[in-house]
Amino acid sequence: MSKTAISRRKFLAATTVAGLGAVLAGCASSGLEEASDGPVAETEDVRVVKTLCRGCVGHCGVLAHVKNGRVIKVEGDPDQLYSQGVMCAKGLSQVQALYNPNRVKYPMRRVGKRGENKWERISWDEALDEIAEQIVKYAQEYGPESLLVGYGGGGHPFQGSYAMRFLNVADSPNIFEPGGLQCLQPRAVIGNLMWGNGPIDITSWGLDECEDFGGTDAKAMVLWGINPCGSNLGNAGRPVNAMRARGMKTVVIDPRFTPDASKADVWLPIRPGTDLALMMCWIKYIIDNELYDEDIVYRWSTLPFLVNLDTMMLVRPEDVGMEAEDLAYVVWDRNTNAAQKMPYPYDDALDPALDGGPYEVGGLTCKPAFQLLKERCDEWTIERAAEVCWLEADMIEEAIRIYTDNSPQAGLTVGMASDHTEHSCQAGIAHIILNMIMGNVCKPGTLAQMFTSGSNPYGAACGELQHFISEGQYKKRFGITEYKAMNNRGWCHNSILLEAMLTGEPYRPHVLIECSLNKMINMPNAQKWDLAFQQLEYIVHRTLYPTSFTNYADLMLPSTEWLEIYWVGTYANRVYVRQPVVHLWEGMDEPTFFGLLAQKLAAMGHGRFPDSMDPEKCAVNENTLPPNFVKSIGNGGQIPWWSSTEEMLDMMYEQRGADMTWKELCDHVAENGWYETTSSEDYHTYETYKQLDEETGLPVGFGTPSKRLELYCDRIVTLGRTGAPLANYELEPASYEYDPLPYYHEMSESPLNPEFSEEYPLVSTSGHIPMYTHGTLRNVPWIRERHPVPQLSINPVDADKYGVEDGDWVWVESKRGRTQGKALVTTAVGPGVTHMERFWFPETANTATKGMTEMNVGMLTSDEGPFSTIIGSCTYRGFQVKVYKADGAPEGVWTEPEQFRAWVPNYDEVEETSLDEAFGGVSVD
Amino acid sequence: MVVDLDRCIGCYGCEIACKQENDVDLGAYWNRVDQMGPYGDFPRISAYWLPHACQHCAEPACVEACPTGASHRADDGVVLVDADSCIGCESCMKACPYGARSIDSRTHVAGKCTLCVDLREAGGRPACVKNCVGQARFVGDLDDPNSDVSQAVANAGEGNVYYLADAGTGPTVAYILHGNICDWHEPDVTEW
Amino acid sequence: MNLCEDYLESAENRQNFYGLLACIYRKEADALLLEGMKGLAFAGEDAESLFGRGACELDAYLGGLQPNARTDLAVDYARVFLGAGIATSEAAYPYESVYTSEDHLVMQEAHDAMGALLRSSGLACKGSPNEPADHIALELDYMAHLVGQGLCAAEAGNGEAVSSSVASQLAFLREHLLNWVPSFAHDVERYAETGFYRGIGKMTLGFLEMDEGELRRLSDGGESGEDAAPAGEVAVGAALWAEGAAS
Repeated sequence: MSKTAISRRKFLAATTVAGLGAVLAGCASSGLEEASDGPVAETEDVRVVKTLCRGCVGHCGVLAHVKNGRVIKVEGDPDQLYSQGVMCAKGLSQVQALYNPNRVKYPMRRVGKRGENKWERISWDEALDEIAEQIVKYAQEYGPESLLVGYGGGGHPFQGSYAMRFLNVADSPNIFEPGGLQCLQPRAVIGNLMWGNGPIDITSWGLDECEDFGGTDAKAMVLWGINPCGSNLGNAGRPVNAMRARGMKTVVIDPRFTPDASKADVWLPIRPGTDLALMMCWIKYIIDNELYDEDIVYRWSTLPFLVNLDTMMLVRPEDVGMEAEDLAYVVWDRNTNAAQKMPYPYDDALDPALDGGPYEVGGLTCKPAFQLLKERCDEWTIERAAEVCWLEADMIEEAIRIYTDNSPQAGLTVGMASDHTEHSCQAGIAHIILNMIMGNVCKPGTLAQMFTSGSNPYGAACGELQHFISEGQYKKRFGITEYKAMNNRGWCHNSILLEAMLTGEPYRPHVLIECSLNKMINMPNAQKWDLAFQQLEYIVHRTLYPTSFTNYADLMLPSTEWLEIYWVGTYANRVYVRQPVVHLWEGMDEPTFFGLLAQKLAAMGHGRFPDSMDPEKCAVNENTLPPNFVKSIGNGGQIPWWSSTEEMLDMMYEQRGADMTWKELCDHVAENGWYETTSSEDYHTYETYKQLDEETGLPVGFGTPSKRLELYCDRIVTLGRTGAPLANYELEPASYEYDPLPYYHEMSESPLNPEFSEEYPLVSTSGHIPMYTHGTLRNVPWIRERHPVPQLSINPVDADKYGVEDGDWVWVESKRGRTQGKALVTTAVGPGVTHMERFWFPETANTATKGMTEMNVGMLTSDEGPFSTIIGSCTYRGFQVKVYKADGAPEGVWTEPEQFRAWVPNYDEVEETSLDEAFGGVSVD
Repeated sequence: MVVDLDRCIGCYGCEIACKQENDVDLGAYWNRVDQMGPYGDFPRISAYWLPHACQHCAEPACVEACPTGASHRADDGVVLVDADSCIGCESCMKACPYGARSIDSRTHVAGKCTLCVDLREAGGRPACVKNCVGQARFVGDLDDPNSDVSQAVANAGEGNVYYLADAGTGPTVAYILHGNICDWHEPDVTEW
Repeated sequence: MNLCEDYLESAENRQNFYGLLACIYRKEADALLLEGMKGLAFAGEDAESLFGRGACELDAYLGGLQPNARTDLAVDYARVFLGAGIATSEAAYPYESVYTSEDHLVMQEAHDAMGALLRSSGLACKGSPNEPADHIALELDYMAHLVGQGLCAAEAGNGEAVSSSVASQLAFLREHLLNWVPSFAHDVERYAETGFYRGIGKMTLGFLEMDEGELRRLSDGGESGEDAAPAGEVAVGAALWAEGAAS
């Protein structure tokens, strides 16, 4: 018999399994069925969908090319006003991220113990039921505050309003993220209080116009602890670069010689943690040399007003026996040499004294606010700043002059650096003052603007149902008394939370729903958080793929990449959409997750969840606001829960009285490039504050109670005493007064403090690099091969001193612990200063290190105070370390392009080996 | 191609854009960005970022070295590789003074920047040009005084336009760099 | 034997096997399937071929089923095929695109090709539209479908249709299964921990290779070039084929 016949017989024998047919008939059916519309010929059309990137918070415009339901390419959308069609490495790599086979595809439940890394698939229904049960169980036993939600940047979270809303309904006060009180909020809260319109920050969430599309460039821009060539490249980097190429002068103040620094007219390599001192030096210089804009200072700020030295509050006419008057304050008039009432907007008969005093007025001891500012900044001569900030005096002066000479067509923008220090809010105060006193506000070419976009009902953030959380529970928010600025967004204080998780005091959370990708690289003192998370009984991780954090989780739930989600981005007068281009497996976006979970809890009758399904109870009006509720909240977007994001958007748009549904908005954008809220001419209006209010006949002023720029902002004082205007309820006073004026103190961990500097002589700082944002993209081979490990930048002088050469593997150690870095010996950082970016390693995430200890700045940072006042920022930049050589690279970490081949195997090579060899005794490890 | 180094912000986006568009292998680059510097003494240092790829030489050594004629110079001056006739002998790699070529370990064919010939033929711009955050890259006909590239060079001013050191092949990529940013430093191309 | 009869001899077995493998890869083994499979004996006389070794391993596992087997298997399935908890890409992702695309991603050209194939065949995926079309279960289902079409044609005595079906099957097997399943099976071997999936992995590859042989045999008229009998020895199969063709 031929070989063929023999093998045929073998085939039949092998494949004849008695009873197989019956078994299959009983329990299996094909995954295929007849299509309802019969056979369809192949179509070749490629759809181009307009959407927005979410590789970082920039939201650059993107054109996604889609063929037969799959994304084949992404490129920039030239219609987006700021990014104008450019895209950075992060955005360009998103197809790799979207289709990474490693993504979490279905809800998974842990099997065995945490850390064993065994999972089994469950349905979404099972997952949501289980989470709801756990929430109810722990709420019943320990109170609603047993529930904690975690958040954070990277991994495409939305922006917190859905999580916040969920917590409010759940009557739990705590949501936390690594940024929280030390990312944007310090400046944002202060900016809102001081002039009603946020911080001057070109790279962050609430992007400031950075290139005036009315046609006027800024003549000069100061980039202060901000890195547009590395953060938010499309919307900030591109415009800054374009203006610089057109002749705009720049000053870069940054310990690192960034590409922006390389192109700046002056680079000030400032000692990390001393930015505030230099800001105060600049203020002093401006005051001493009388460079300030008199129109703004006299007529449009609170600086001429008298301050009651006892109460720190601005004096009102009624305080000193004058007749009460709306919007009126009191000045010391040089013409009459007496205190006079200053009405709104101004009285030309008066000549307010900016300095001098103390003046006795109506029994009060007062000084003009300007004088107080002057006194506060007085010690900061250029020489002193040079000494403290490790700068050269003439370079400081040159930098100031570039700014002042080009005002009022200039801007001074501040980034994360100061937020990450003990001076976070103070730098917030100083940077607003620096912009405003030079008149760089509401003029062509300035960064501080009050452009009015007209009515825009299409925002995607939902109403947070702040009126649902009870007074008692609200007041349990960790840190709420001392750090009242937290109530702007509602983030709790991380270190107080950490202590609570470890000690149970004042109470312990038990259930955590975690929405960020990998907290472990961003929380301070990661090893302590490692212990803390292990204390929580039930942890859910919504994530794109397993990370260090997943080691703590009981449920691992698939979240969504930005090509799968919704959002609305407003840039100037234009509204753009992020619309889902594809949807993979069972990924669930954030609004849907919270919406469905809320419905489960409503069905269970838990707490106020049933109420949150009732539109009448969700509405904000005098009937629904609880007693003692003091915060001003709007009714827009306060809708009941939904089952899908699109349902939510449509409901919200209807509730806000919009003309279009979500789909119609997308169609509109597809056809027109964007949705315009108002014409460009109407939008780009300058000196808006001078426009007259039709009813009162008075100028509309700024968005503050005084209608002036509150450069002395006594609302900061009130904030500390009562929590107004940010807190839902009146709060107990903080243990200290919030100071409306900046003041510099050397940070506790400082090179001048021998307690630290003897053993840890170098100042450490950190920051973004353009290839990554937070914890994302460490598993994309093309990005990793380019920048596989974090670099420890160290000056040649120090490298010599500590025996380190370029490319060496080193240890970098702080009081908290140590971690490794790869030395980059460079003059791009000054002597005494080091820089290393945060990092984690997917290739070791399932090992004992959880991928988070090898080369992670989070191992070095401190969770302990002192924290900044007003908001409680912890210190991520400006602490002490020592650097010394290591024996080699950390174990298991990939550094060479060839190693990433494991993620992109060449199967041709595999094929070449004989398969019998492959299967005969191949190891399974 | 013209690259304005005043504007390049060293974001490495063009490396990734190129990899995406051209399926460049791990470990290989058709377009690479190197940091030049910092030079000088702290704090008065200067630096720039130098993207480099095939220089589309006027007399390409790679074309000469190619035994099969796979490497050839097109009419518009762009140097291309015909993948079908490439035998992967690597002669072109050795001949190129600028390290612009690499062998794809999967296909064993030589590859390098083609100025995204397919995109251009469809009326578009090369991926690195289109996506450049610094808007620093231009491609076009240097013989046409009205083209982007010619305008960029003209506006740069005399003495601010550089080419990589000529090893006899006539590199055509022009780099613009003004002294107030940094002085031009001849890169060590042997490392490329 | 004519082509139709020849085809029918193996068709049901083949359809069953494709169906079984599809079922096993489509999702975790549930209690019903396990119970059913427990009663079957997969291993035959041959214990040496890849298929045979796999079958032995599977039988051994099914013979020693523990009470928590369903969970053990769900965990193995999740680890090996879903990559659950794997922060890198070290799993056997059951998508053709992962193995054939340059960037080792899902939803690449193979997904497109499968989608087009299904659409032009008037077929659709049951369940979620968010699943890639080149999942191994769907590809195996498709083969089962083709085998079934051939079976109908054979039962109707339509030799031409059978021949055409055999050609389609062989093409699909080569273009959409054997082009990547060897590497995939290798990864299953590397990463699976239960005898169940280790066995199935080997059986899958073994079966596909054998099936290729079978299809070649059917399309060559029962004789493939390599297996051609030496002159003078007429293969029984060939003789039968010739007889069948003549009648």
